[in-house]
Amino acid sequence: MVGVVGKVGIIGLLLLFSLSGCDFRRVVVNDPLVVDSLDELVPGTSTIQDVAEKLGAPDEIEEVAQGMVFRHRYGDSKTMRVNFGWLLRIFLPVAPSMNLGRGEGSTYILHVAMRQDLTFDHSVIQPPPDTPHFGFWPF
Amino acid sequence: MLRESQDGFNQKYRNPRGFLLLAGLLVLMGLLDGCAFVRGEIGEPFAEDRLQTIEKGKTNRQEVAQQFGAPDDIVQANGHEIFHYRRFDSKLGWLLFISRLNIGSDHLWVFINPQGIVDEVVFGNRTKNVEFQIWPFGE
Repeated sequence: MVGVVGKVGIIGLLLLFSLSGCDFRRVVVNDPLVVDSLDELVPGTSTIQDVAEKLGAPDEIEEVAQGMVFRHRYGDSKTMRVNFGWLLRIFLPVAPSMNLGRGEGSTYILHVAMRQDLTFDHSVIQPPPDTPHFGFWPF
Repeated sequence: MLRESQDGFNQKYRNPRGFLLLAGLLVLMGLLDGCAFVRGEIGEPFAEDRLQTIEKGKTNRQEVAQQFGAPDDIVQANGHEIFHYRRFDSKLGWLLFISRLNIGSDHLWVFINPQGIVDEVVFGNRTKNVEFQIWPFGE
């Protein structure tokens, strides 16, 4: 009656249909920080331009006692939501929302300390945070 | 002519199962969400020719302000007045139940010494890497 392609198509559509009550969202801010490039910077010698060449312009600059600190940021967040009331759309004219959702985010921050003569001093690298995961269970 | 087309329609859909399948498919597609591509920008792009007008040891505070307007932020650090200009670009790709929002930022930092002359310029362009993406999984 219905060929293999038809069956696969129907199953695919049903899967798509059932997943429509879900949401997978991701927000990524800036590029991942490549910390290996800091190895080439020499304290007291490398200039502000050398730092900018390796890492780009900082997101923030803050004054500290011995000079200033450049702060670079990278952010990644994942959110998932499941609307269990969605399936009622098939049977009822109105679909009440019954959502369960959860979001996880991580921010990777890199500090680069500059001396008063605007040369590189040292950097502080935050250990890589756990990669955020998709999950809908909020409890 | 009308008669011919009606006959054609009747022949094609004389089997009601085919018509019901088509109608069911249309209803199913109507219940599914669509897709979207949305872009958001804050601030104007930093044109290369405008950036080149800033010369270290020559350009003064007023000239910087004439080229780029009032800064978004002024940071006092290390005896310098640092003009901070920002630009953000975001691209959202959304298909059915998956979406990804990529955000990038450009920063221009202009270091001005106590005499009001530009000492250093740091610029980073990260918005050029911002892409439309839909797939939220993986890297």
